[in-house]
Amino acid sequence: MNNEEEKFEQFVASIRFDDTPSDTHRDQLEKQLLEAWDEAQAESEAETEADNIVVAPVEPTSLYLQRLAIAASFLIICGTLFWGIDKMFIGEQSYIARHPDRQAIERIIEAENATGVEKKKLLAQIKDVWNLIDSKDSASLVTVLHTDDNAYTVRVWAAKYLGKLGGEDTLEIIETTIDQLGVTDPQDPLMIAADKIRERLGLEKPAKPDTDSSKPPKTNGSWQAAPDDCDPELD
Amino acid sequence: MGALEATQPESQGCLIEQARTDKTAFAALFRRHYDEIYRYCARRLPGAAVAEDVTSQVFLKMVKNFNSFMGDENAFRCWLYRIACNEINSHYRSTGRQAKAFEQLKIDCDTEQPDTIDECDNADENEAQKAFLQEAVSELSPEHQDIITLRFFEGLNSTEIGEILDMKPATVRSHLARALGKIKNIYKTRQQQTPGKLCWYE
Repeated sequence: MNNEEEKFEQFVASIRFDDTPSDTHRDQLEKQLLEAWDEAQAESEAETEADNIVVAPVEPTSLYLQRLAIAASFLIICGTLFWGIDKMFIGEQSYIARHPDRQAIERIIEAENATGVEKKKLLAQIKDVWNLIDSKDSASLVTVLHTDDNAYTVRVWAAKYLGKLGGEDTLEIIETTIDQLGVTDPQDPLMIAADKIRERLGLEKPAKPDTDSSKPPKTNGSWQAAPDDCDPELD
Repeated sequence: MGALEATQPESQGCLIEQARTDKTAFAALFRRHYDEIYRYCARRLPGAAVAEDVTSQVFLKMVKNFNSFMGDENAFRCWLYRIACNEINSHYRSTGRQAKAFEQLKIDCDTEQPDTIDECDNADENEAQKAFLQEAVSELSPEHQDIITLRFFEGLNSTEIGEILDMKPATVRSHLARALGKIKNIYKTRQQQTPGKLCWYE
């Protein structure tokens, strides 16, 4: 406190104020306040009761979980829809468009004249075969070549790649399979693959031991001849 | 220790909580604070009747908002002073110029007749000092009025005034210095007009 403050304080202290409280006023005010206190208590209780009745307490945690569940459901529905649309319309087209051998696949689809479910089935076969090609699984590809469940054009396509991939071991397996199945048709995928391997390895075609010209060639299933526009020529 | 803390025994801390549910405790709380709030109002307002009215308003506002009040009894006293400051300023705003109120105050003082000649002289001088002090204070801004009266009428320190007026103690001190400077100027002006007994700063 500075000197001036101190002087002023002393000055104020020297003045007598008429500030004695009145007992009458105090008592009257007390009575008034206690009445107001009663009213305030009653209002407070009424508000509490109303709150208890009208507003059901909602726990923040349950509210949070509820919102989380809604968000999760929404995401799942969106994901499923997108997956379905992609699978039905976009997936196939994008698979073909991105495929390294896109033209061959388009020719296969065109040759098989596949639409709807058949097209999906055909694409599934193509994908399986491509996985085998990609993993250079020659033995499995040989199996594909003589499996009637696969479309002829797909098998011819597989044969082209097997011709590029296969070595002497593969050729031996193919020749054994040809012998076992009695395949003689030069357009059979097995024959095509064997010829391609031999051509690539510079091997000669083995002479046929005893061919019965009266015996009809084994066609290895019900497939038809490969269409001209699905010529399994490799680059 | 400030005036607020000095009058607060620790055992009284729970009275606020008791007063929320117990009418008797509430009455005790009122009686404990009535006198000081009334005195504060009486020193700032012209006449006992006005001081009583404003004091009533202060406590009625308090009871209305008592359930929403959070804090100990020290905070409660600060709260009461804050309501009182607001009510006093509100009273002056609603009654127009504060000078009018002091005119009334002077009239009231003049009508009180002393019993003896000495008493008469002393009473006259005291009334003159009081009237002019209140007039000088009334010429300050409401904020400066609050600070000056809380500091010099109630004897609170800058921390306690800061709690009441929601200011930092340093800000209170700064306002206090400026307010005191203004009062000094008012007194100087008056001194030039009527030299003699009014001077306090020399």
